[in-house]
Amino acid sequence: MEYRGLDRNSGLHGKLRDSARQLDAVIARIRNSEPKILLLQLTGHEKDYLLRGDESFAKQADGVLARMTGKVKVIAETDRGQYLSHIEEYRRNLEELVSQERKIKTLVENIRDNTGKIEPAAREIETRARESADVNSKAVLDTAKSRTDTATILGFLALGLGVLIGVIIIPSITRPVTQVIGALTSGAEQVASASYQVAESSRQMAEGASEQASSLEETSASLEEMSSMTKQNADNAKRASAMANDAKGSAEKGRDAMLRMTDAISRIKDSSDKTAKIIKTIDEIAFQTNLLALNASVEAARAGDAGKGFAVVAEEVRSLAQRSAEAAHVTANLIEDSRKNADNGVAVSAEVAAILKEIADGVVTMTMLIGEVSAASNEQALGIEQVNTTVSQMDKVTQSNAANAEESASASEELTAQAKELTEVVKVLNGITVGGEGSSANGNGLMNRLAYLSGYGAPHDKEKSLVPPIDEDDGAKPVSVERRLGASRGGRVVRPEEVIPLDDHELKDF
Amino acid sequence: MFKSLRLSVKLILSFGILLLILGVALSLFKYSSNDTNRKFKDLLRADVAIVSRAQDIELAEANCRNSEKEFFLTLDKKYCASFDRSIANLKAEAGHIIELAREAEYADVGVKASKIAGLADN
Repeated sequence: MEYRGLDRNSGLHGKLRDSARQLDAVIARIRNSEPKILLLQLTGHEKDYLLRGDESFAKQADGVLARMTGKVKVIAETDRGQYLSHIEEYRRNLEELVSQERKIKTLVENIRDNTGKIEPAAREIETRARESADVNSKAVLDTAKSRTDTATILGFLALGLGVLIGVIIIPSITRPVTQVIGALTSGAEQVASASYQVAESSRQMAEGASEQASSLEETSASLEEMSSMTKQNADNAKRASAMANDAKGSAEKGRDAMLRMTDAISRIKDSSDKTAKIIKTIDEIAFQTNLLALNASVEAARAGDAGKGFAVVAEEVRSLAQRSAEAAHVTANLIEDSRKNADNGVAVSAEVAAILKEIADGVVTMTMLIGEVSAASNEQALGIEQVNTTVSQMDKVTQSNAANAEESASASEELTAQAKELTEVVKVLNGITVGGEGSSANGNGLMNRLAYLSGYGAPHDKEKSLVPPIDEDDGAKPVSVERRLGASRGGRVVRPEEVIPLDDHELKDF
Repeated sequence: MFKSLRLSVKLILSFGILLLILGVALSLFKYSSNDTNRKFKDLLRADVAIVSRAQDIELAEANCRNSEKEFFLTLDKKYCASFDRSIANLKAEAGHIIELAREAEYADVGVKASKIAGLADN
């Protein structure tokens, strides 16, 4: 198309116009207008052809070119060559243009024809692909639905089979496990109860043993004190015996002195009696003197004034007689009292002598008794020493028993803890089997505890465990109480009743 | 029937059967899902893609016509380039359809696409 020319100045179109211009330039130099008219006719046919695409105008243009060639005589001789060559060039360009236009037309028709064929072919492809897509998608969906149905049926079959297995298998699993759990629970409770009782008894026994040891210590101390006091008593008895002998001698001396004092008092009594007789005599003399003084007074009165002096003397004598009588009377009373006192002193002396005799006899008896007491105290001291030795041995035995009882209490507490642990494990196992508390939350704890109880592992926190390892020499592996007791009793499992006396007759022997 | 079996055997048997059936069901479901996905992918890759490419061919053909008319109206060379691009697109889409038809074993579609490519070349 570019070769043909996209505008009037390019391609064949441009060349055609150039040829026409060159012809016009040649023709313009002549005065004959006929070639000019032919040239105008030629360009007019050319334009008709270019505008309408009708090849008849090209044939008319070719006829005009022939006529212009026939008019070569009107052209100057010098321009004729150019004139003819331009005509020939125009003809070639026109023919080439026509040829190109024909090709373009054919090409365009071909393109239009082809594009007209492409569209239905594309439509056919689209329709065919749509139909195929519908068929294939329906087939895929049908297949998927079929397989999904099969999978669903298999799923329901698995569900039904699971239910069937649950109905058939689960009871056959849970029933014996439940029975075992029941037996374990009962056993654990019994073990817990027995171990609690053993622990309680051991604790009470330990407390009793401790109290007994304390009492024995006190008893031992008291016995030692008693021993020393008994020795002191024996010494005191010896000293008392000596002092009793001395007292016996003193009592005898006292009795002799008392006899002598009795004799002295008797003599004093005799002297008092004699003195009383003298005083009586003096009293009688005073009475007679008083009578004489009274007579003298009477006589003096009779004598009158001459007897006044005598009367005064008589009065004085009478007064002295009265005073002598009073003094004799008082002295008699005193002597009477002295006599009575002497009598009383004699009686008291006799009584004191009798008492001193009794004292002397008692001292003798006491001396004998003190001697016996001293001998008994010596024997008692020896016995107390033996008892003290025995009590010391009992104290040692009791302390040993207290230590053993504490160990037994500790072992019983461990047994109790293990029984509680076993109960908890049974609860967890029960929860896992029949559901309920501890079925899932303590799963790890259950495994640890089961591993621990089976002896194949230790709990997470050994120190926090309710059941600490007993046998430290056996490494980290825990040793049960039964195993421990069995090991300590030559491999035989010993029951608690065999270790700790629980009955009265056993306690008596113990 | 199961009483004589040990607990572990019972559990292994029961769970084994359950797991086997569930495994078969899951495998079937997985296979079905994968197969469906694969076929739908094939569908998207072949049929749907062919439909899309055919529509693209129609679009390119319409563009060709439009460019042709624009060129003859304006004699502007840019429409020749547009026409050439549309023809190139059309040929490329036809080539894709030929390839898809060969993969999907659609012989008639391949023939038609080859024909379209041949028309585009002419």
